[in-house]
Order: sequence, then C-alpha cells, then structure tokens
Amino acid sequence: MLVNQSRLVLTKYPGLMHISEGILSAPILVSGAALSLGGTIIGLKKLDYDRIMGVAMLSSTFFVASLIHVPAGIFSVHLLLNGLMGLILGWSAFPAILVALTLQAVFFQYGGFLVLGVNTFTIAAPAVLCGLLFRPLLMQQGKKLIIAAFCAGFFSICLSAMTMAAALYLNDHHFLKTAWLLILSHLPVMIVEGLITLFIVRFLVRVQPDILGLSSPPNNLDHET
Amino acid sequence: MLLFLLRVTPVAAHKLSVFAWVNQQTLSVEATLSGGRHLVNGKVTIKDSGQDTVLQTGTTNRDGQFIFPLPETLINHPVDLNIIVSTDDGHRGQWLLTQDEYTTEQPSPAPVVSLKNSQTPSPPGYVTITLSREELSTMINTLLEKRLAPIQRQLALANEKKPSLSEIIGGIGYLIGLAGFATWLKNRNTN
Repeated sequence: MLVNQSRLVLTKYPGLMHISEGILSAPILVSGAALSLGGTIIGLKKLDYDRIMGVAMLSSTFFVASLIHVPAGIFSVHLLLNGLMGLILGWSAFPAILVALTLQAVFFQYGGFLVLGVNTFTIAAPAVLCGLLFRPLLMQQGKKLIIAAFCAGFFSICLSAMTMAAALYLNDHHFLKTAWLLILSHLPVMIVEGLITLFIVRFLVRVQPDILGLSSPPNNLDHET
Repeated sequence: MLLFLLRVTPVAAHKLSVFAWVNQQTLSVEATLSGGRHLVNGKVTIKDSGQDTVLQTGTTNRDGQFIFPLPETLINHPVDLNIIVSTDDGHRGQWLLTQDEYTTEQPSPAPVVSLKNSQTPSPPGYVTITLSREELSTMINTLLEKRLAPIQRQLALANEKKPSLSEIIGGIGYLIGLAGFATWLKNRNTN
C-alpha cells in the first residue's frame, strides 16, 4: 500500500518547474510578477559587471540543465541548479533565472509569459535565500563546506516546491490537503540536487575558488588527494 | 519511505501535451508529458467551447488516456469541444476538437440499391449483399475513423516541438550576447 501510495504521489505530481498558463488567478500572477521584478531590480543593482560572463554562463547552465533528463540509477531526474546559482550569484540569480525562463518560454513554450513572474520567483527566491544562508559557511573549513553545499542544493529545491505549493494553495484552497504530497514527491530530486551541488562546489573550491568568492581553497582541501 | 520513493521514477515535467480523437462515437483523450511519459491520474475536463459549460470530467488511466462515449445529445447536436487536462502541480494542456472532426454527414434517405442483380446467381463462395446508401456510408465512415485515428495521433505527436540543438545553442547565444550587450552599455556609461 505504501508503494502504491508513493507511485500515486509521483504520478499525480509530475514534477517541479513550470506552472502552465491558465492555472493561476490574476492576483497571484500580478503578485508573482511584482516580487520577481523587485528581486530582479535588486539583482541588477548588485550585479558585478566584471563577472557578467560568469552570470551568463550560469544562466546558460540553468537553461540547458532543465532540458537534460539524467538517468540516476533506477530513476531519472533533471537538475535546476538554482542552489548553485544562489551560492555563486546571490541576488543576481534573479535576473539570470528570469532571462533563462523567458528564453525557455520563447523557444520551447515551457511555462508562459503570463506566469513568468511566478515561475521566476518560485525558482530564484529560494536560490537567493539559500545563497544568503549557506554562502558564509563556504568560508569554513572541513565538513561545514560539504554540509553547506549539500544543503544549498537540497533546500533550494525544497523551498521551490514549497513556494509552488503556496502559489497553488493561494489559487485553490482545496490544494492544502495535497500540498505536502507535492513537496514529498520532490524528495529524490532534492537529494540528487544536493549531491550534484556538493560535487560542483568541491570541484570549484579546488580549481577556481574565486568563483565562489574564496581567495584560496580551505586548508584541509589542499591536502586531499 | 525513502526506499519506496526511490523505486519509482520522478521526472520533472515541462510541458503537458493533449491529443483527442473520436472513433466510433467514442472520444479518446491522450495526455503525455515532455519526454513522452503518459500522464496518469490527470484531471480531464471536457467543455462546450462556445458556452464554456462543463460537459464531462474524469481522470486519465495508466496509459494516460481518458475514454468517453459521446452521448446522443452531443452526436445529434454537435459542438466544438475544448478538452483540458491538468495536474495538481500546475501543469495544463488543452485540445480543441471541432464538431467537424466527430460528426459525419448523413446522406438523405434513398431507395435501396442492390449491388448485384438479384436475378444473377452468385458464383460459388460469394454472397450477395444488399446495402442502402446510408448503411454503406456509415460502414465506410466507421472504417475510415478507425484507420485514420492512429495517423492523426502520429501527426499530432510529430507536430509536437521538442527542443532542438539549434534552439538550445541559440538560447545560449542569446544569453551570452545579452551579457556582452550589458557590458558594452556599462562601459559606455562609464566612459
């Protein structure tokens, strides 16, 4: 029965990312657009133009990552990498994700223009929050860096799922009963995203720590083989 | 609980595609997600496209299909049908089925026409069948619906645009180009 319930969860909720056009009501669409606009303005003000190509590369990575379904053992997922974007870009993740989602709507009809604000806020706000929370821990040595990197990837997906559930709940209060199932259905994605973010951060810390804002790798990582 | 969740296949979806066709007065709706997966337990709503009234609701089965025998009222008074499939996590797709696609023009009643001269005996192994124009038309339409439904479905699937390599590279090009443009603007303002 538990297996059947789990299967029901994962078939009923196909997955995160784009809310389609025609689902959400006007007040939610406007609110999402306003919040995303605010985040984008802050992101543009805080954008380091000397590193703008890095922003473009991360935006491109986000643009492509969601198109690739990666078989991971017995299941397959696609990545968002919004946790990684939050760690590296901070508030600049807002304009980066907004532009990438706009291009996905134009080229592939993923999501839509009316719902772009809500989709941007759903993905970018958790990214920024995780960046603010876990980036300081990257400066720490040892296991704190590993935990910070994993948590940034894990909780960015978790918060994105919660934000999407909140938007759907505000649209239809009957959704509250099944909102927790929506969040639970993304648990495998959260774990995979956390692990991928961890691997990428560890690689960057060794090879190019200045991307993460580190002047040099933490001492313990220099001695690892 | 974690192990059971890992046994299934969670694949995040981007786009919900809906296709509908009528075969022998039965409406079939098929919903698939990007990647070709069937949508299971999707909510199906069939509306009168003109008046926006709900005619039928249901959920898709394990094959991503919802099958609905058309009622007599709809066959006698056909309308354009707006078929909407949605999921609880905000995915939505729709298909417009026009009345021309599921109504067949009934020929005016005509006298019975014998296909074979009844006075001529049939050769061994052959049977003489007498059909009215109406019966012949119905038979041909039924066969055509049955044969054309898979072809229409394949056409709809072929028309579904999947991300191509050129579009992906184009998107990346746009992003890098925007960054370059922003840099140029910034430097211009600085100078």
